[in-house]
Amino acid sequence: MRTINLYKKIKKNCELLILLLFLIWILFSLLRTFLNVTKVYSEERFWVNYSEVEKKIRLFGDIHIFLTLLKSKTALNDYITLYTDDKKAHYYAKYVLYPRKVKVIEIEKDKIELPIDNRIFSTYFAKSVGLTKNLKQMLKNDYELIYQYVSPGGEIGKVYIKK
Amino acid sequence: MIGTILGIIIIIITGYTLLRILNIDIFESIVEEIPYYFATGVGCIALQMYLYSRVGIPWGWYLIAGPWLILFTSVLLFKKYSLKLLPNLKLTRVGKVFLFINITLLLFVGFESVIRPLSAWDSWSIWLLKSKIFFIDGLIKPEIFTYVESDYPLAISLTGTFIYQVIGRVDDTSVLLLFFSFYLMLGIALFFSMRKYTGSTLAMTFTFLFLATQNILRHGGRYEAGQADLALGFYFFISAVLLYRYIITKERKSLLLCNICLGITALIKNEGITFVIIAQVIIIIQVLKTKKYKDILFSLLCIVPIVDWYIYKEVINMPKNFLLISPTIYIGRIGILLKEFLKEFLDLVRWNLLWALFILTTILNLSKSRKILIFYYLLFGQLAVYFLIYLITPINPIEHLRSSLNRLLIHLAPIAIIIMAIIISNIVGKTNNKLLKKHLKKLF
Repeated sequence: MRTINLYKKIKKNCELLILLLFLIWILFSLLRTFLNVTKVYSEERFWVNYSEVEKKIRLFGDIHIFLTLLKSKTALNDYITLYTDDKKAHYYAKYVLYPRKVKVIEIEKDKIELPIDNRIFSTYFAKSVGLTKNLKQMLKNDYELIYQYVSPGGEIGKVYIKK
Repeated sequence: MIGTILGIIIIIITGYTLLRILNIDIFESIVEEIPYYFATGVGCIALQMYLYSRVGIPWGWYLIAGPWLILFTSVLLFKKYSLKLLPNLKLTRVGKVFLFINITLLLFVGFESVIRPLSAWDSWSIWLLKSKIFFIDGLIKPEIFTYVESDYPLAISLTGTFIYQVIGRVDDTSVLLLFFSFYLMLGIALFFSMRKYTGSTLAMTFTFLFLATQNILRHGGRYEAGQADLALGFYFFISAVLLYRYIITKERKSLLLCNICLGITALIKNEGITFVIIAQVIIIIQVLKTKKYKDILFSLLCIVPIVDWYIYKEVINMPKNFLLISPTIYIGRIGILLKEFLKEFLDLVRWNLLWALFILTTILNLSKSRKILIFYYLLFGQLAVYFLIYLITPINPIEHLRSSLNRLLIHLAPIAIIIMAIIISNIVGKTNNKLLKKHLKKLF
């Protein structure tokens, strides 16, 4: 009998605990919703006035400007090698530049195999990692620099074309 | 923007037409049915584009939507079907307040979805990258899967391509309305599904709790829109609800629609396939119990497109998923993974109290109701699969888990919500504390 009473007591307390948490959850969510909706005024109203290009530059930074320039310097059917230390550049370049086919070489992850076949060779450094000796030599022999982009933040992008 | 909205309307019309042709009339009102129109519409359009590409039919939007629009007109003209637009909603004052808040929240997330261009990484690298490629190429070129380095199914990407076809260009801002639509449809489906078991006001409250969860809201429109996780959560949820309905009512129409939704589920993301297997096992057990063996034939509707997709993957030699290259189970990870799972469950910024309360209600199992066991089987079965993924992953499991578990839990969150709603509804209805009962009954 005592065990049954104890069980009922525990069950009742657990029910109360669940209901209490449920009410706290509602309160937190209401507060969160209020904060979220106020963002329309505090944060989002600025976005309304930006153009699509401005929005992309604000979201993605210099890589977007560089890739837009790279896009303008290349043909739709070009094969491009992008040598970079910026992880974001990998997938963003493939997305932005399609139908141009991009082979991305991430300095920290991939090994570069020389010679490079692609007509366009581009480099984009966010952390100022330079080129290896072999690569410098290859670029000097086989490629010609056609464009260089230097951002105010220090990122450097270069576009080379096969001689 | 108008083009995207038009594309979404065509998807809904396609689903409506399919449901009328199949004579599926298991819902009370049009509004309640809309999520199912949308769900089946996405599947139909994607499958149609996939088949067109296989047999060489071009993808003009009118060639895709045309047959459905003709069928839609015929259905309107020749098929008598009367269904009221709105159900009878009996909301208390609290319920009306939450209805207003939910509408505000939906407007906010809808606005958020189109204020910025696509910025979710996974979408650049998989979902909308494929949409863009398919749109530019005008068909599915097998070699593209090696270029994209992804073996994910194509339903979401092809629906994105369909939207681009309707707009006439790649617009990676307005296409995000498609992903907001999954958020909206999930909200509607959640409310109407819970309402039957909890009453309108409590269902409206739980719908709010779900829609206001930060992680869900972000995938619905704020920064993370463009990924397929919320869409998969939507298909998991409606399939689970339809399966539950079939088990309770034994209606064949529920099973038919459930199988259609399950078939699409497996074509949204790879994770869908294990959910489909769990659901099919439950269906087989149910069929054996009731001895309605013919019901099992409906499973073909689900299995045929999935088998076709896997054969296609083999034929074109699609790159294998990194998890399946040499699967080894690292048992030693169990302890650390449990700790990391718990950390994610208790991440209040992302989930608020959703998982904390779910764990508590599950441990205490207060409802003792066998009614919700089906939801538990599906949720825990799928959760076990996700745990297994981190046991076999060849990359650092902690890094892998921290970057992906928050997305995987989105798939299961709607099912967790309906379980909690039913349990809390039972507590509200059965509590012994008279004062509490009086106040709760007033509120809900």
